[in-house]
Amino acid sequence: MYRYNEKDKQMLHERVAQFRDQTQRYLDGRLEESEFLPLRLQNGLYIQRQAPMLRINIPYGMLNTRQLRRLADISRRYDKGYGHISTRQNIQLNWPKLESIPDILAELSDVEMHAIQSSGNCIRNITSDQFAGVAADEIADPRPYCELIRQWSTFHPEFAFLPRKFKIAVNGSHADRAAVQFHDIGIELIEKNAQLCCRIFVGGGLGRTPMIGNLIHDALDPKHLLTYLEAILRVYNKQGRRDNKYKARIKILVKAMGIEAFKSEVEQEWQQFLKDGPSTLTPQDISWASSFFTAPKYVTLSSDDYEQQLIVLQNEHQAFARWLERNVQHHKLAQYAIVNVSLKPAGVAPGDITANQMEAIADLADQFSFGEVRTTHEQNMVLADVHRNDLFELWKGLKQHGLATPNIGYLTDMICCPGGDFCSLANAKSIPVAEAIQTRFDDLDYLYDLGTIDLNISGCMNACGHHHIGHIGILGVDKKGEEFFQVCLGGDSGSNGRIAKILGPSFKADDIPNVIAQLLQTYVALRYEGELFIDVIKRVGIEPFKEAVYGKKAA
Amino acid sequence: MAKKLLSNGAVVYDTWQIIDDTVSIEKTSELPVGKVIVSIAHWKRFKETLLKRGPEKLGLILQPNESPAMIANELEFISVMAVNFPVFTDGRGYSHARELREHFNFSGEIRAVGDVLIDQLYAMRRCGFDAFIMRKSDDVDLAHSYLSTFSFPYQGAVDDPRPVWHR
Repeated sequence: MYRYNEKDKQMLHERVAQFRDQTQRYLDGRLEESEFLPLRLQNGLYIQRQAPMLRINIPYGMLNTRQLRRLADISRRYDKGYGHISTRQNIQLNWPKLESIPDILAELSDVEMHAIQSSGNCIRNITSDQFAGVAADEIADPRPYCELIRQWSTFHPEFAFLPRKFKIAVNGSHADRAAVQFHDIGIELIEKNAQLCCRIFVGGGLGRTPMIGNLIHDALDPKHLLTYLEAILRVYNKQGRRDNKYKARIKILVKAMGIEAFKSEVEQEWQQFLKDGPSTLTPQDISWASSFFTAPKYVTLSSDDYEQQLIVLQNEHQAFARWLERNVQHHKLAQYAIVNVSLKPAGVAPGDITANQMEAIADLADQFSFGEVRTTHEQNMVLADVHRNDLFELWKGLKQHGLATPNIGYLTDMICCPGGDFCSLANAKSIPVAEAIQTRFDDLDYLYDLGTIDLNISGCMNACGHHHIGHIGILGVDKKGEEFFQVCLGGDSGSNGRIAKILGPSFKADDIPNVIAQLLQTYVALRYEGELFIDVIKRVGIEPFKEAVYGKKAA
Repeated sequence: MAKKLLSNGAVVYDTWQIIDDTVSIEKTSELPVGKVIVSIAHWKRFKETLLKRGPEKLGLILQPNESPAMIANELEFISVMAVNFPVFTDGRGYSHARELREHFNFSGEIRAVGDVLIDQLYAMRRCGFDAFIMRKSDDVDLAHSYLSTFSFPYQGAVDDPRPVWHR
C-alpha cells in the first residue's frame, strides 16, 4: 500500500499543528462557532448527541496492521474501546473529547493516518473495491488511481468550499463493488480496443433525492483523469446551488441542466483550458502510483494436499464449512482466498468493532495475510491474501473473537447508519431495528436458504445506511414526534444500479421484524429454484409483496 | 482612517475605495478622487467616465454569481480585481481567481474582500489572490503567517502549476 514519504509526513504534522491552533482559538473564543464548524468538519469532527464524533479516513479501505493496532489503542485510551466502520470505508469514534482531538490526530499522524476532508463540503475520502488487486474479475487495479486522486484532492485550494460534500469512487472489476453509480463522480476502469480507459459517471447519489449517475465520458484516457475531474469540479463549484443545502449536490445541478448541457460545459472548460495541462498524468506517474500496490510475496505449495484436508475439516466442523462457503471468496490465485470478516454478529450494532477485535484481526493479518486489512462499504473487514492452507487456523482465530459469523451477503449482514442513538440528524434509532432483525432471523439454515439479500437501514433521509440501494431498505421517519419506519424494495448497488420503491405506509419499530418475515415468505413462495430475492422483485415487481404486507385492499 | 490590508505579504494601508452602485458617476466630477473599484454593472454603465481615470487607478469587483469570462476583454483597463466573499463558505471566488490568472492571464492585484478569515488565506493565495482585506481588522497583523500553513502543496494551482509528483 501507499507509504508516506518525508513530504507527506511533514504535511500531516502541519495539519495537526493547524488544527491544534484552530481548536485553541475556538476554545479561547477567538474563533466563532460558525467559523470553526467547517474547519472541524474538514478534520472529520462532528458534534453529536452524546459527544463529538471523529471520522478517521481509511483511504480506499486499506489499512496495515500497525495502523489497526493504533486505532485499537486510540479507541481504548480516548474513547470507549470500540470503533464503527462506516459505509464509506472509514472508521468513526463516537465518544472522544473535543480537547483531545488534536492529540488523537497527532497519534494518528505517527502511523500515516488522519481525518483530512472526512467530512465537510469538500472532496471526501476516495472509496473503492475491497477486493482491489486480488479479484479474479479485475480489469485493472483501481488503487493507484485512488491514490492519485487522493493526493490531487487533499487540501485542493479551489474546492475547499464546494456547495456540498463530494464523493468519488473508483472500481476496476467487471462486478461493481464500489457502487460507482451512486457517487457524485464514479469512475470505472474498463478496457476498450485493448486500451485501459475510464468510464465516468456524474451526479449519482442517495440522500433525499436518490439518483443513478449519468454517463459523462464513456472512454477517457486515464492520463486525462485529473484534469477532467478538475473541469467537472469547477463547473460544479461555480454553478451548483448554494441557496438550499438539500438542492446543493451535483446530482441536482446535473438534473437541472440535463446531462448533455452539463457535459458540454465540462467539455468546454476542459478542452479550452485544462486538457493537457501540468496535471496530465504521464506513464511514469501511473507506474509510480502503481508501485505502491504490488502483489505480496505469495507462496506456492508444491502439493495441494491441503484441499483434501479442507474437505475433511468441513465434514468435521459444520460451522467452518458454512464460513468457508459464505465468507471466503475466490482469489485470483488458485492457492489463495479472500476472507471476509463479518462485523455483523447478532446483538452488535452493524459495523462496530472492539479494540480487542481490532488487535485480534491485526495479529491474524500479520500471521495469515501479509499484514494488510481492508474495510468494506458494507461495514465489514477483509483479509485479502490468505493461503487456503491457513483457512482453518484463521477461522479458529476469528471465531475466538466473534468474527466468524458466516453471514456475508445474508439478510443479517446489513448496512446500518449509527442512527438516533448517536447522530443528531437522525429521525429514528436504526440500531435497535437492526438488532431486532438480527435476533429474529438468526437461524442460519433459514438464512442459507434465503441466499443473498441486501438489507440496508438509514435513520433518516440523509441515507447514510444506503436504504435506497438495499434489496430491502428501511428508513426511519418522524411522524409528529414518533419514530416510524418506511420499507422499500428492489434497490441494487451493483452494475445494474436500481433505486428501491417504497412499499407503502410506514410501520412502528416493533412491527418491522414481522414485515420482513412477510416479505421473505412472499419471496420463498414466488421464487423459482435458485432465483435470488432481488431477481424475484425484478420479475414480479413489488405488488405481491405489498399485498402480503398490507392485504389486498392496499394493493 | 484607511483600512489596512495584507498585500504581497506586507501590511499596508489601503489606497482603494469601492464605489457603491447607488452612486451615479455620469460625469468625472461625480467620481471620488483616487483609486476606485466599481461593480461590473457600474463599469458597463459608466465605462466612458471610468476610462478617463486610467488603468492604474481603476479596479472591478466580482460577485460570486458573476464570472471572469464576463469581463475577459476589459482586464487591460484595470489594475485591481476585487473578489467578494459574502460568506467565507461560498467557495466560488476561488474558481474566479484561478480563472483570472490561468485562463485570462490577469497580472494585476487580485484582492479578497468580504468575509475573509485567516484560516482561508493559504488556499486563497494558492488560487492567485495576492491581497487580503480581513473581515476582522485585527487579523491583518496575524495574516502573514497563515499564508504558508503548509510547506508544500499536493496539486498544482496558480502558485505552482505542477502536481507534487512532478516537482
